[in-house]
Amino acid sequence: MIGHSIELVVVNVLFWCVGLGLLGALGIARSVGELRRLAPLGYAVGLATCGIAAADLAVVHVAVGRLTLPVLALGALVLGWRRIATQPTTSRPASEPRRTSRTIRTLLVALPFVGIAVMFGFLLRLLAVKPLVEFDGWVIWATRARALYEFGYPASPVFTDPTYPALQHPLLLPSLEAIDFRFMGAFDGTVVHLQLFGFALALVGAAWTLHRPCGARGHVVGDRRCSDIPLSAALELRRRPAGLFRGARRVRVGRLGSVG
Amino acid sequence: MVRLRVDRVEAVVICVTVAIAAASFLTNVGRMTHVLSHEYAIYSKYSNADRRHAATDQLQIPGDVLDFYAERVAKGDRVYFQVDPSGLSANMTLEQAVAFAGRFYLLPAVQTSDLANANTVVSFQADPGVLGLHYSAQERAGLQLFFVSKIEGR
Repeated sequence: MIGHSIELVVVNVLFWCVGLGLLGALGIARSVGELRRLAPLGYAVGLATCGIAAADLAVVHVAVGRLTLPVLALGALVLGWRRIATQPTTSRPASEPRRTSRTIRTLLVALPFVGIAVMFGFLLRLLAVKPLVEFDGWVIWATRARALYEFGYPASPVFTDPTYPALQHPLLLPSLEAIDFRFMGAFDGTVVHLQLFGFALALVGAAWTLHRPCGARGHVVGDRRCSDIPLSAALELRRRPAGLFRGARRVRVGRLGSVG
Repeated sequence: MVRLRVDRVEAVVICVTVAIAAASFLTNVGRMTHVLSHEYAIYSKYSNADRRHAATDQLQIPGDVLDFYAERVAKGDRVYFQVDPSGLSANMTLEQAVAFAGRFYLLPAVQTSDLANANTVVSFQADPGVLGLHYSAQERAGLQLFFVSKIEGR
C-alpha cells in the first residue's frame, strides 16, 4: 500500500513537471518568477495534458508508462526552460498601495484555505484505505482503467461491445489511472482513489493561481490580468481575468477544461 | 470618490461571502469529519483481500469464488458466464450481477455474450454439462457448482 502510494506521488510529480514545462514552453510563464507564481496551475495543466495525450496515444496502441511519461516530462521542462531563457526580461508595473489592511487580506485568504486543508486531511486519510465500492466507480471507470492498463489500448470488447457499459464515456480519467497502474505495476483499486484526490488538489491549485492577487491594484502579471480573490466570480463584471486567457489562447485552455 | 465607494462595496461583499462560507463550514465540519472518521474506522481494518472483494461483495458474489475463477482464466480469454436465470434484488438479476462482477474481476479476460464466440465457460451455480459442449479442461470449486471450463478446439 505504502509502496503504491509512493509510486502514485512520483507519477503526479511527473504530471506537474509536464504542466510546468508547458507553462514555460507556451509562453504563459515568461520568467522563473512567473513560473513560480503559476506553479499550482501547472499541476492542473499537467493532469489535463497527460490525460489527453495518454487517451489519444492509447487509441494508436501507445501506452504511456514508466518510460514515456518521464520522457514527456523531461521534454516539456527542456522546452519550457529554453523558452523562458530566451525571453527578454520585462519589469513588472509598479504596485499601487493597497487600501485594505494586509492582516485582513491574509485572514480572508487564509481562513478558507485552513478549512479546505482540514477537510483534505480527513479525506486523504480515508481515501488511502477506502476500497473501490462505488458502483459506477468499479463497473465503469475502474473496469475501463484496468482494461487500458492490461491491454495498453482500448481493446475490444471492453470499449466496443454494448455488453460493457458506458462505451461513450471519455478516456481521460481511465487513461490517467492506467498510467498510475503502470507505475505501480499492478491494479490497485484503493490507492487509485488518491488520484481522484489529485484532481481536487489540481482544481484548488488552479483556482488559487487564476484568482490570486498578482501584483498591483490592477493585478497584472506581464500583460495579463488576474482577478483579486477567489470570490471574484461575484465581481466578474468589473475584474474579469480575461487577460490571462487571452494571453494563453495558444494553449486552448478551453479545451483543457472541457475534456473528461 | 466613486472608486472608494466601489472598493467599500466590494469589501462588504467579500466579507459577507466569507462570513457565509465560514458559517457553512462551521455548521457542517463536525458532521463531515464524523462521517469521514467513521468510514476510516471501518475501512482501515480491511485486509487486502477484503479490499479486493469489497466491490463485488455488494452484489453478494462471493470473493473466494471470483478468486477461483480469476486464477483459471488468462489474458484475452473470451468468457461466457453461465448463470441460471434467477432474481437477486429488486433491480438486478443474478445473471446481471455475475456479469458485472466478472467483467471487472476477471480482466484481462473479457466477456462474450455469444457462446459460439467463447473459449471459456465460467459457471456460477450451474452445470456446464447442460451446454452440450466438449471441454479440454475443467475445474470445479470443491463440491459446489462453480466451474471454469475450457472449450475444446477454441
